[in-house]
Amino acid sequence: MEVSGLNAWFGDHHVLRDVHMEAGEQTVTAIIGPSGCGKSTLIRCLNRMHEEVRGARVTGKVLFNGTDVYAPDTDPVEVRRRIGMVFQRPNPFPTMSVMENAVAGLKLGSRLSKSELRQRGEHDLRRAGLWGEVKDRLDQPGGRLSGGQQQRLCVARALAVEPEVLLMDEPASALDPSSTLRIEELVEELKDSVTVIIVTHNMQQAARIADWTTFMLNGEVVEADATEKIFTAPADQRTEDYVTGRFG
Amino acid sequence: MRPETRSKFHNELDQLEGEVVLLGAQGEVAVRRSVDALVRRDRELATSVIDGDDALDERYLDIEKRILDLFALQTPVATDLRLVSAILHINLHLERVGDQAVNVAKIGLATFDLPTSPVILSHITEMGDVVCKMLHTAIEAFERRDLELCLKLPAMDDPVDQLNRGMYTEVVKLANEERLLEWGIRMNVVARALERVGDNAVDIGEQVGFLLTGEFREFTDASHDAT
Amino acid sequence: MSDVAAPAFAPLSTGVSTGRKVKDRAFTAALWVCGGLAMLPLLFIATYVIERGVKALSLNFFLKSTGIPGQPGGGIAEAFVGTAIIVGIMTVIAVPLGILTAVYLSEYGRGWFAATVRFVAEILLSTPSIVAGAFIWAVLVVRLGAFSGFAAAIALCVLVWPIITRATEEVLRLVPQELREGALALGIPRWKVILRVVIPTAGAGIFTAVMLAMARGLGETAPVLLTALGNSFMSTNAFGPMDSLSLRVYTDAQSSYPLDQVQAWAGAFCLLLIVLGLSIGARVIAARQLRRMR
Repeated sequence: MEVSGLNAWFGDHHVLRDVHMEAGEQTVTAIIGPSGCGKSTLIRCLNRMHEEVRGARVTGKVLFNGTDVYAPDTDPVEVRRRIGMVFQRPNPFPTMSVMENAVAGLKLGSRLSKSELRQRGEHDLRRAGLWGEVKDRLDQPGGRLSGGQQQRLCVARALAVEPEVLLMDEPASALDPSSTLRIEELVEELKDSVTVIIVTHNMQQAARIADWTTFMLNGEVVEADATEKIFTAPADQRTEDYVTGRFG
Repeated sequence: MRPETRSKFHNELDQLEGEVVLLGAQGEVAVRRSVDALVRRDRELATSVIDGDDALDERYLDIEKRILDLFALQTPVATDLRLVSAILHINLHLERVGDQAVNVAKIGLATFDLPTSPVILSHITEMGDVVCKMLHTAIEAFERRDLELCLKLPAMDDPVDQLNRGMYTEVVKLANEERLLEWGIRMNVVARALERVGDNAVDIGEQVGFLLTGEFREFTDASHDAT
Repeated sequence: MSDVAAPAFAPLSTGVSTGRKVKDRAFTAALWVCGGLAMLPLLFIATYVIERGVKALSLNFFLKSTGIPGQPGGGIAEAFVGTAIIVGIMTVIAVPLGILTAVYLSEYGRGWFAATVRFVAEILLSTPSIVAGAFIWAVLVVRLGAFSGFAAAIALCVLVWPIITRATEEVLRLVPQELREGALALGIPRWKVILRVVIPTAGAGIFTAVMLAMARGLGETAPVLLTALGNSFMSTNAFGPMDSLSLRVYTDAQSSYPLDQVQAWAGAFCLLLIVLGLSIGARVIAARQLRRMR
């Protein structure tokens, strides 16, 4: 994925300024920065979720496999199927069971037989590392799982529609430390099949799991480099100040 | 079984441990060869030791960089932290060992056409044997996390210290012949180099002690008298 | 043991002061009394109605249409049938309309048009029912030349639609935005998200809104009077005059025959029962759905 010259507004509030970013295939790219720097807005622009908010506006290009996601003839629904998203707070559908949640995207988006759905559901629950814990509880409401399990269910649900890119907006910030580590482990495993772009306010998390890290400040990209470089010898003084904790 | 988290981190740590052990073997071999080359007056062997130091340094630098990355990226704590710290220090000590071996080899090359004294040569051989053994013991202690092995090291170092101090007396005896004296003085330097290797081995033992106990204690201190 | 210094801080009191306890208890008691007083009218009405109306309840009451005035043996079957038809038509028209409007207002509507729609609903909500009845009378009855159950249904729609719309809109708003986002992010088109995720999630609330609207519709008398006129004969023709339960109670109450008056009480009793049944039923079903989701 490649972002060039992206600008975004909430009404008159200019949130993203001329952002350039790249995310290579089968890598994990982290976006870090202090609150309000625009990192959530940035990834919501990648799958055209930003425009769902009233008064939101976007200019610039977001290239996905070479095609601009914002081209006038591109269908946002299709974009969102191929670029999936996991949110900060787990949001399983309360009226659906665990299995129904896992295949919700498939059930509502395509025509598959019941057995096919079940198979795909199991496959993706395994991928999300959740199968073992829920295989006896597939018919229970999705809301009954613990926070960490719910979030993994959301990951399974997102994976079910077979996206090529998975966007994660602070997926572990509402979870306890051991659930957080489970999610990180999951990201490490997913890397082989999906490109992951993760927004996190926890620098150590970015350090642990990302191959490439982008640092943002006030709507601009300050520095983007291999993670080791950012955390051992950042080029920009602002990056240095942020990662050493001198501000933010 | 609870699934393991941070597997990437622990895999890397395991690998680095392996690398350090290999480095230790490399260092031991270098010292062994350098002493052999000196005593047997083998030019080729001496040159190979000097050339081989590049590979040793390369490994040292790689380990050093990876350790630094681990500190930055994985924020190790508790035992992990002590292990990473131990690897960092042991790495450094082993690089020094390599350098000492090169020094010995270089001196060898420079003195092959000088006369020798069998007494001094035998002392040097003995020192070489002991420090190689010490190195081996230290690395083994690290690999096996064996505290008892560590504690043996200071005792092993005593004969090395004694031999080193005795060197001066022996060299003075050669005062009459100029070229022999020249050789003797150079051998004194070799003895110092070997004694340093011994110290490095003890230091490695101290690092392992810290890793295992969480307490850093110096086994022997230069400022205290040895018995 | 010299002079002991005063303690550095006063020891904690060993209990709540008696004055405070009394005030607490008095206040709680006052609240209970108010609650009780609020329930009194309902109990009063219920007992009164039951007492008077139970006498006329019989199988005939439910199955036979009006008999010879003054003679026992008749019933108000046509009122039940009429009510079923009128409220049925009302539901079929008002519920989808109300829900769709609510969906529009909550999911799509921004700007002046939505604001206008909301304003209209607000006004209709507080329209006196007789005004709605008169309006439909002028528009439908006079034009089509006949009183009809259908016109009554439309009049009730006018009254009931805003209830459904407002209540449903409230409930839809309560559905967390993150659910919509989660569904959209899966690449599901917006209309499907609303239909298959948002509405089912709000399901309990929507159901309650519909039930309450139906209860309101059942109880309205004036609009039915003006538009359906009433009928003492059994009729299933929605486009002719029709009777409804509340209307019947009204007519019977005014009759000079004591039998009719007793019938009116019975009718009132039935009405009360149905409305209570709907309200309680709505709450029970809603609670069940909520429990299933936890």
